[in-house]
Amino acid sequence: MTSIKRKNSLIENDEIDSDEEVPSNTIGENVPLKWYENHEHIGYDLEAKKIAKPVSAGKSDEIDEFLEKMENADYWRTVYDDLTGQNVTLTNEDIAVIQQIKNAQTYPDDHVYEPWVDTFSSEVMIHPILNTPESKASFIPSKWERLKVGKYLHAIKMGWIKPAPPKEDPLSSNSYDLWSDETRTNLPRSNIPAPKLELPGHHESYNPSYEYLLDDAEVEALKAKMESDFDENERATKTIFIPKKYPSLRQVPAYDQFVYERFQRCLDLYLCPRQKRLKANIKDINDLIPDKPKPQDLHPYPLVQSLIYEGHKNIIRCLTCHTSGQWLASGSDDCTVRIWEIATTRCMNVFTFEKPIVSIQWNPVLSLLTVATGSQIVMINPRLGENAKVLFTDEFIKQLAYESSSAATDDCQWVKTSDENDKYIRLTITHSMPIRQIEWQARGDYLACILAPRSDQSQSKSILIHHLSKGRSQYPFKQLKGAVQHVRFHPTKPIFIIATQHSIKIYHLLKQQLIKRLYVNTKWISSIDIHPLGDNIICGGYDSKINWFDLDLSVKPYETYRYHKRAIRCIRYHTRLPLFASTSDDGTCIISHCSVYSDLLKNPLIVPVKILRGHQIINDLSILDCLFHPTQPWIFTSGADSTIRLFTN
Amino acid sequence: MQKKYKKGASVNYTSRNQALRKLQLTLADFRRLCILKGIYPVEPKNRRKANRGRLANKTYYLAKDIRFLTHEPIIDKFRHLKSYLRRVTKAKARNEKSREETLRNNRPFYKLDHVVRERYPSFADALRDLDDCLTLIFLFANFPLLKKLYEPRLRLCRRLSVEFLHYVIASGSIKKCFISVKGYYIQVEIRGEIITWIVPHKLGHKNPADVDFKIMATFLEFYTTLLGFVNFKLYSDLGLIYPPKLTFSATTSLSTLCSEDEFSDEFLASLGLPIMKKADANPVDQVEVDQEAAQLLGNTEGDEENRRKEEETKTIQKLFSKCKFFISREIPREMFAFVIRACGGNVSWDKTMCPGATYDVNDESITHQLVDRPKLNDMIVNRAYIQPQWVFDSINARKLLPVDSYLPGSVLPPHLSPFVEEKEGDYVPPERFGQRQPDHDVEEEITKQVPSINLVENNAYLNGNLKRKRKDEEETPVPAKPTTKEQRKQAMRVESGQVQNINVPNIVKRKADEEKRLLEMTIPKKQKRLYDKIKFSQKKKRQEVEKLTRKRANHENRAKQDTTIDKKK
Repeated sequence: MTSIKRKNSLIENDEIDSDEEVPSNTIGENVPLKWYENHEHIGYDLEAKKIAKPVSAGKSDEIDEFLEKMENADYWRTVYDDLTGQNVTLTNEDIAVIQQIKNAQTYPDDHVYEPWVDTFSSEVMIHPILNTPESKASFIPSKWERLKVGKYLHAIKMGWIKPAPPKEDPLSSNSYDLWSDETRTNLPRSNIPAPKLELPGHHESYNPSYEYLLDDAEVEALKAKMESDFDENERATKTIFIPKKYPSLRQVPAYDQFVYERFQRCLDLYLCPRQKRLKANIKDINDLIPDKPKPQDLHPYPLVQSLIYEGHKNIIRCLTCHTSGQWLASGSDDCTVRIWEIATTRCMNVFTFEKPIVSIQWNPVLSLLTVATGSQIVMINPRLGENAKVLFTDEFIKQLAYESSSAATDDCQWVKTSDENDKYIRLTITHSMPIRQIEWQARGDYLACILAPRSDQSQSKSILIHHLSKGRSQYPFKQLKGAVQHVRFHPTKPIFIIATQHSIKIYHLLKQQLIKRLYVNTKWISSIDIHPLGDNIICGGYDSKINWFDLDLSVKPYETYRYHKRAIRCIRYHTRLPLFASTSDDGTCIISHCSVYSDLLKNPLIVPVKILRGHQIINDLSILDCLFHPTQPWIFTSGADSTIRLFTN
Repeated sequence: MQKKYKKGASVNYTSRNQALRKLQLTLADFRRLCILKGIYPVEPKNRRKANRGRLANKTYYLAKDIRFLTHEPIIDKFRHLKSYLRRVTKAKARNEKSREETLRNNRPFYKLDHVVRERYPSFADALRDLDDCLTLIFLFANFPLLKKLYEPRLRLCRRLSVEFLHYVIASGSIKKCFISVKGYYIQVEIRGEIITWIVPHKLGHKNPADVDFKIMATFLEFYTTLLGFVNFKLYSDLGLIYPPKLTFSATTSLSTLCSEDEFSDEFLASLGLPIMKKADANPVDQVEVDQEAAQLLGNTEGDEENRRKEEETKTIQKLFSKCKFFISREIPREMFAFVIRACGGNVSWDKTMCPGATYDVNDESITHQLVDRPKLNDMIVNRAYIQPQWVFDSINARKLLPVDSYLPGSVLPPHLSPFVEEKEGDYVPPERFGQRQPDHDVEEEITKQVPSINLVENNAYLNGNLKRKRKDEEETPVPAKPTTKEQRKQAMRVESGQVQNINVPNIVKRKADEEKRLLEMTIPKKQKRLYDKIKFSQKKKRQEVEKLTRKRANHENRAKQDTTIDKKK
């Protein structure tokens, strides 16, 4: 800064010189001012006389300084010049220059574009610029350089230093045949190829036909489906494609989602877990349907509804048919038992009881209609059919002499009723517990009876077998697991079948042992039946499953069907024809043809042949019981609509 | 005794974190490696077994795959790159310019040749997997040169795509093409492999928001290498010179649009001219070889099929051989030049549009001019002016279609996808048959609907006949008990019966339906689910078809009404 100041002051001095005589600075720029600090003079003039210091050079005291500061408006731009001892007021130009220097800008007075003196130009001059002769050293080759080169040379010779390999372009390499030797043709690892992209359909066209375009409602539906089908993350990976029609090709813009779809595809290729899936290759859907004989080849079976037996006022729970096939008895929740003539639908007789009828069965031999109502079993001689048989039954009951010391006398009481007291009722057995089901043995001597014990009572007392001719009752099981649902006698052998809630057990009554236990895959068995030949059992459940067991084959079901939509209530075999029927709460009764072969190698053939409808569904109940006619291919169904219907072939 | 988790699924699968630990890589590097090497996660058959009895949500890789990755030389290069980046940043921070430059000049790079060979041991494998490769390369070949991707690679994409298109032209292997909203779908058959890819539309490109271009770039790295090798192999097998050269030397006098050094490339990229073959090339036709083999083996069944196929290819190759096209400025030139040339046509365009134009608009021999503007001012008589869709439709139809419905400014017939193979029961747009269906079909449909009403009535007859009778009784007030004789007489009355409308075919159909329903009951549970699924999908399909037919009919009715109104006016 000092030099600049001096320069400024010099300029000013020049200006001042021209006006008046003021002693100029003679000490030059190289002599510092402090050398003259203790002297009276400052420098010398041309005659070598001392130049006295300017008078005003004396520094004014602080008060003067302050007054000056207050009064003089130009005080901030006043600078004291040591050399001349004068206060110099800087002009605007000076300040501008200082500002520019401070901001590191060019100096305005300098000539920015001064002519360039090209000293070492390309033009060869006749005279050298420097005329010094070259040194001797410049003529002698350098020893150290020679040594260095020698070293390199040696290193190259020895192969220590190699020339840099030619630079390869990482992008362009592939100018040779990569597959020139195709020896290996298998992929090295188990390779699951990524699925190829879906090919576009007609709707993706830039000019699709009109039916492919979506209206607003359809677009909304598409979006809503997207919302409902995928969660937020999945949705982000999907794009909705909405078909669009452009009148001409020039109006088709780039597809907005194109890059995004490619990106998603890239992500799929390296992030999506792959799995080999076996796809079922089914050419014709009918191949899946098993090959079975046609229903029309399997006649006879019930086909059309022929008769309706009306008269009951409430749900009809149970049906039974006389062995002659002439009479039908039904028990209902309106506490009546009605006996019908089958052919005419005429109600022959009505018996009224105090409690709803639970179960009803005709004795296979005697003319005894056995009715379970409440906790009572009532045996009625309805006086129908052959007169001889009716009379024989009366005589038979009469001659029975019951001892009062049976095993279960505490629990049940046998009471005979004579002709004089009641015209029909012959025998009454009273139990301490309500009855669920009764079942005659085929020879008509034993009567099995399921009781419904209270939860605090032993389950072993839920099955009771009455011996008619001896008038005795006994509990055949010491202990029983699970609530008993249904029981059946084997048609020929002394075998007893019990269905509890989850399983079927088969007991030999003479040997008193468990023969078999069948594993049922229904949750709750409702009904079972045994084939008249005794080798097959069917079982229906409240979870609408039907199991067919072949006792010769296995303890697991041979076939399971689920063709009913609601709980199965009753399942029955035909006693003579190869038919069975199942009734369900969905209002249908399905007849199936089942041929059972005596040949052990041949499995039973089961073909559903007819769906019978007709009963109404009332309070989720429809058909509660069904019964085949003992000789004809007819079926009776009784239902919640308090009718019995007969379907014939 | 065998210890638990020493064999089987728990050893065969590795989770991703285990793999990272084993390979000592960062997740980003691992992913890049997976992309390059084509390693993908797998879904174990049983997740619980794969993860030692735990059911955590993990990504699993095959342990073999990961072991295979450990020997990969690229991993080493990844580490070199990492240290290189560290050195460069250091040099930059220290402001050591020269060191930085030397470092940059010696940037480590890896080559993917061996990876391509590993992933595709045979050439057929490579061709089979070319769909994604081509689509991505064609996307970036038409991509604006942005900072998002390494520019030389984008140029490489462009070069490779042009080379591939030249191969398709030279080999005449185009099969189908389709203009979609997404882009142009092109299908070619190379050595028996069907390859389909999409070329995006060029105009109106928008920068996508949430796309990670780094991942795409890694894919592109591999795909460019792959396509380079594939191109080389294809060219050399067909006896073409690689890199492709034009059959005549491009002279600069034709060029007004680009600089001299770019010129030959641009000329090549215009796809307008054939490329050079090797002097001693004697390419063997794949089909002929197949035929010979078939003859040797005495395979006559395949022979018929082969001959049919060969004939089809030949018709496509010579489809436009007698046509001379001129492409107007408003048409995507490259695509149409490619498609026309691939089918054996001659093509040219405006000289100012692109280099490579071979003849002028005023050339007398031009047979077809592609235009896509509603009106033309000066038309030349002896040529057909058509909209570009004609070219694609003709190729897909394998014949030159009549140009009547493709005239400029006219409403185009719908452009249908050639990729749809209609099966029985699918909806087939009427245009598919090349003609509209006659109108009386609609009437027939209406008459068909009538019997369906009868069917309901018959249902009632068969099933609820008795029920209905009872209902009738309920409706008519029945006297409680007829007491007198007269009353009884009145009550017992015979009414004349009415002939019931019995529709025999319907009853037969109902019977057949019931039989089928009964048979369906006997399907075992396992197959029942499958059966139900198929039934459901068939139903869905049927509904879809019905919807489309209905929409079509609606639209046609509306159109007919509109025309009648117009006529009245």
